Amino acid sequence: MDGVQGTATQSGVDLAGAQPTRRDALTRWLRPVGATGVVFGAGAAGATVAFARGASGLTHRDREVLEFLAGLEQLESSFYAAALSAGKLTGEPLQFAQTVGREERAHLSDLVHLLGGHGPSAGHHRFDRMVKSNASFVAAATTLEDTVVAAYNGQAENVTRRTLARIARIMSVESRHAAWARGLAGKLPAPVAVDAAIDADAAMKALHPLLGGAS
Amino acid sequence: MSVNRPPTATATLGQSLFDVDGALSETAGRLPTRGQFIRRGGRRLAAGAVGGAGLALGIGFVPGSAHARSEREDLAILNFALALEYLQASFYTEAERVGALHGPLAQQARVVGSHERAHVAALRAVLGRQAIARPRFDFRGTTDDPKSFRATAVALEDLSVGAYKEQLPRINSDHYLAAAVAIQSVEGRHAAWIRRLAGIVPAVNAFDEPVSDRRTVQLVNATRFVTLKVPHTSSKRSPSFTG
Amino acid sequence: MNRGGWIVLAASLIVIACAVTLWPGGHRAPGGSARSPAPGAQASLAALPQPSKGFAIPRPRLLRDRAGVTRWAPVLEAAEARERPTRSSPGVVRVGTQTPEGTTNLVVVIGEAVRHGVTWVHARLAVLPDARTGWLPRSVLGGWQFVMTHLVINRARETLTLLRAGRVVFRTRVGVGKPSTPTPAGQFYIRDRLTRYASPEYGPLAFGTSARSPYETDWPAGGFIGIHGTDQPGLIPGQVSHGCIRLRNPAIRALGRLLPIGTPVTIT
Repeated sequence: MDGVQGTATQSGVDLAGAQPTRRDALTRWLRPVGATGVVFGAGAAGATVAFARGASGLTHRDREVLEFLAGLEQLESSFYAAALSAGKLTGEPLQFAQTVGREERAHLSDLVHLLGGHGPSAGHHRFDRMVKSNASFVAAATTLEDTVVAAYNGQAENVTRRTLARIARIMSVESRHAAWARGLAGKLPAPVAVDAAIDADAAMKALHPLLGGAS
Repeated sequence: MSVNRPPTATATLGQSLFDVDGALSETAGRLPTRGQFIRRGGRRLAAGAVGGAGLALGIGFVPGSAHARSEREDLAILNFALALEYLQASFYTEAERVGALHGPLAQQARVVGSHERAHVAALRAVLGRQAIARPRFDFRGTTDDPKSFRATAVALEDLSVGAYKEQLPRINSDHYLAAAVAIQSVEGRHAAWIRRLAGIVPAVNAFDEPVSDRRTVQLVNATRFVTLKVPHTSSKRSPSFTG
Repeated sequence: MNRGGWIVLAASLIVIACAVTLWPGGHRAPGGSARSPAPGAQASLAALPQPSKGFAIPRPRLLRDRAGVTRWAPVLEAAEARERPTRSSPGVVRVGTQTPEGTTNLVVVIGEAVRHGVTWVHARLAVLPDARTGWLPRSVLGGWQFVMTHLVINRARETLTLLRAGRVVFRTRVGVGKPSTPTPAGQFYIRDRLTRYASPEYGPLAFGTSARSPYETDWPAGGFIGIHGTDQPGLIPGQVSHGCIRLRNPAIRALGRLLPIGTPVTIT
């Protein structure tokens, strides 16, 4: 039920400046049911909601998550940029890098815009080994995209539904990327009936090989 | 409307997907007889307690708690998802059984079909008595040859992605949301998979936009895959056989 | 009507729908104070909760039993069944949309062919000589239905056996046609199911099949073979009928709970 949100506060972790996440759960229950089924928090439950969100309409938790996700998009953008400038890709892997790289940049842009203009700093990554051939690139892309998909899935419950609506538009595209990369790698594009959802910690661990040398 | 019992709130949204002529289909009126109750954190909500309020009304005549209303909304959304999963699962199952596909396309139908059937099973289990019944489909020859199959699969998968996107932020319960997120994530993979097999860019846009309920229903109706005319194979006429 | 056209229409509508943006842009706070951790900022990330499991989704379900599946479809439009899958081929018989019992006519399909972009199906026909097949345009048939069952009738042994996915699920003794009016041999299918009629000689339940008998003179095109109950159970097993397969009434009731329409029937 509200187990997830409840657990967060019970874990003792206190996000500096954050409103208790239980409030988000409360505002959802109090939201009036319209024909569309969704009413934005602002105004629905009055003062309670106003305190829960900053002027940007994002809660502190939203910002935390969006910054994390923007970091992932930054990583992806850098990876594809490096792959293209290394100049070793041909055929469909090249097309993949061009298309997907462009889309990751658009995702990053969207998230940064949502965050009010300040994006993550570009880390220093050494992708050389991974972009030296079609095969190594595709293998790395598969790991990267699969992990990003699972990482996004893991954050869906942590943001307000309004923010979820924004990032959901990105999530399925990441799934497409992952499936495409896997197809290029000769793997089943969708190996299981349900995709994994991992927390941020697990995502960082999984991406560690790709991050090596990040600031 | 030709139903024996009034639509429950949870069934209405899913039924509307197959509400082709504005009258509820014969199959939609029959709910399964499994006596399952929906568990929520240990509490049991009697699935049949919902009563006749339709989601379209926005407010039920049944004075329930905000929690009960929230649950009803969620179940209506899950039924809508179930309707789309029925469509996809039946399509892939039929394609596999007809056997007109070969190689990578046959593999896609087999694997993706297995996923969609699992999605159907999961949603039916959660919805219990509230689950809409599986409708009858006529896929109108689209499972009979690879080209039609491919084009149809691309359309259905892209539609599924767009429809889930619309529903996801409406889900009240994090519990249901988690499962819906995990399912829609796979639908994105399915969409890319079949598009690549069809020689189309797997991810043509950086963002997948939501498809509204009305548009989803329109698109499903446009396919005319849902058939209200079921074969009438029983009769009370006296046999006139040789004897 | 061009079915392919519907798909193209639906697909193009989807593309259009996907281009529609529903959500307005987020609010912009001037000089937004976003912190900008690189993905390596572990401390705040650890604070983000674990995702919940959601409801259980079972393992993917592959289809079992690819073999032993029979498909049938209702006839939606009357059409000429032809010897070969081409419009210029001689007709075998006109296939209507209704059976004599007033039920939806249906055909079991054993093959397909595409000729000049048109899909034809190879169908079993309910016409003499028995076990005749012919080709119909796919477009006159409705949606595919599938059955895993198979009914086998052995005339010499006077037995009826129902198999599902290759396993025996029901067996009983039957009455078959007399030597002068034998039950025909061949491959047929169950066409319809009759109940609650007032003819005790047929028992409580009867199934119509695609099998026909040339030995009855009442029907110029041949009589219809059915599988039904009886008011003379003492005659079963035996060679007793005018071609129909007779079961004792408890047996036909039991069969009635197990036998779907469209089930292929093999009579040897």
